[in-house]
Amino acid sequence: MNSEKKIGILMLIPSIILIVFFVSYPTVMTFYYSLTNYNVVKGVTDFIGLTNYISLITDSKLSNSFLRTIIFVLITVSLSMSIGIFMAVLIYECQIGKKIFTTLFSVPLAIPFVIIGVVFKFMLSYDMGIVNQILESMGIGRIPFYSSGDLALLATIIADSWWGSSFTFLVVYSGFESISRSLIEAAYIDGASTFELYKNILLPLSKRHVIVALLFRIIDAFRAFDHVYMMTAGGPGEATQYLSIYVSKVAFDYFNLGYACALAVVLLFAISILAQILFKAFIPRRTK
Amino acid sequence: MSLKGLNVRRSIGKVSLYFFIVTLSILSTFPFLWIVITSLRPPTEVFSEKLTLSIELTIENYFKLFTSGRPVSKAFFNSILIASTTTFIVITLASLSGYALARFELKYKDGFYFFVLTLRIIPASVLVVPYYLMYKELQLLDTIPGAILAYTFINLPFAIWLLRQAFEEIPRSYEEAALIDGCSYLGAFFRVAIRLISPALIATGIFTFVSTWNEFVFALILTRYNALTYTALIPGFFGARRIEWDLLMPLNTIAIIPPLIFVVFARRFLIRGLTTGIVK
Repeated sequence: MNSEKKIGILMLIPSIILIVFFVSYPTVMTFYYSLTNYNVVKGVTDFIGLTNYISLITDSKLSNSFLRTIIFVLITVSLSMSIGIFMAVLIYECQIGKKIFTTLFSVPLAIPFVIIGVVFKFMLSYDMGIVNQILESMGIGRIPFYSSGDLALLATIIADSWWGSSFTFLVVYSGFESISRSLIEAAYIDGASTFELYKNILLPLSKRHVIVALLFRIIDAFRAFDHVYMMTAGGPGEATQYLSIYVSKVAFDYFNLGYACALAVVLLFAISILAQILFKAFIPRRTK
Repeated sequence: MSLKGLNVRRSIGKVSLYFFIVTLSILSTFPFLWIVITSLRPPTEVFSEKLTLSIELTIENYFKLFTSGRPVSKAFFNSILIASTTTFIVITLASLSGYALARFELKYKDGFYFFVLTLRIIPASVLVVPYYLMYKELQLLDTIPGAILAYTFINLPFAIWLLRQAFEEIPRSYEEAALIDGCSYLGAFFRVAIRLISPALIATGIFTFVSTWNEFVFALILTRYNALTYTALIPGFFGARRIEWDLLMPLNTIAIIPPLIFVVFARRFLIRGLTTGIVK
């Protein structure tokens, strides 16, 4: 081994130790506890074999949670992708105050998710919420966002897409910006309409940026927790009990840690498969 | 179509363009403004059930927040301490590793991006279950070092990823010149490479600080009182009967300051960090 390589490895060692420890130790522990009925409140830790895994199969709360997650992800991703791309088009066409509007459009990114949850819960609340107060003064009447399952789902989608649209906007707009202006001017001179310009030039050429936005939107919607937890905590009933919420409920509301570990093992396994699929689909092979 | 007709159509297009831009600007900023405005309104108006629009502003809620008997300032300083220590450790480790990955021929380089992204997909609420068990056993629950370690681990892979790109963008010839001048490898790293990537270093630092500051799930589960962080205070204001909106909004306003600074200064860098590697 030459000295260059040695130094390279030496520089990596601290990070590797930390990462390996923080990956392997919890992984082993999770797997071990997934085979027990560990419960902090009841104070039991008995080895029960694969019982937890078997109960997962018949867990109707889990399958409902899975279904709700899929609905949430599909709607919030498509909504925020379309609004975000629309915002990027608007700013690209905008000639006055472009910088100011770009900053205003990116404000949602500055708000921590937990606070997004708090403020949307407040704004959409039945009596004190500004949204319902405005709706009432317009004669439409108040909407009880948090007492119906579907409306609560909608409320979490609104909050999530508010952030997501801004994210999509920034990524896609940076794609538009990377395309040379002379290409656009040439297309205009050739008589392309605005619609054709986007359909045939701007969007195809910033395809990679659109893909990155989509990839991260799917990831972030799938792992959404903070804002949903603050707004509905999974309710009413199980209407907004997405997978991320369900796991935390099993672990820290029911203190059923053995079962939560089995759930975590299965989810981690599913996630690494999902990750493989996403990356195969989205990330082009590197050409060397 | 006559030229006049075309102009009319164009100005209609312009009007609707700006109509949409202004509407979406209002929608994008309103929740943020509403947090700040509500934090400055008198409590009676915060809890009002009717649409009241007055211009009466007060800092009463801020006073009440800090005298409410909750550990607000303690949590604030905990968050500052945890976030800045984490940032320091992450930046140190990530610049070393990022440099090694960028400059030396090592195996498994490309597997690294896969690892970074996979780690990002795992919901924090799933990840926190094993950490809770591990911390319970190692007696790291509700300790500041425990929080720092967890956040270092969460942020390190992405920071390495960002800095590796920054190092790859500077031409090798700079360090080669330093090596010829008698610098050691480490000397070339400390004296030349680190200086050249300082903008990326600062942006990665701000990003790490803000994501630690904003983090909620780990803080909620792994800290209780001694290491309680600022965001983990929030659920405490959601009582069974009453939600203390009048105290929550000043709390939120203060919490937004660091990430807001980040979005203003480091936004572009982060978007580039996300898109390179996939976009090239």
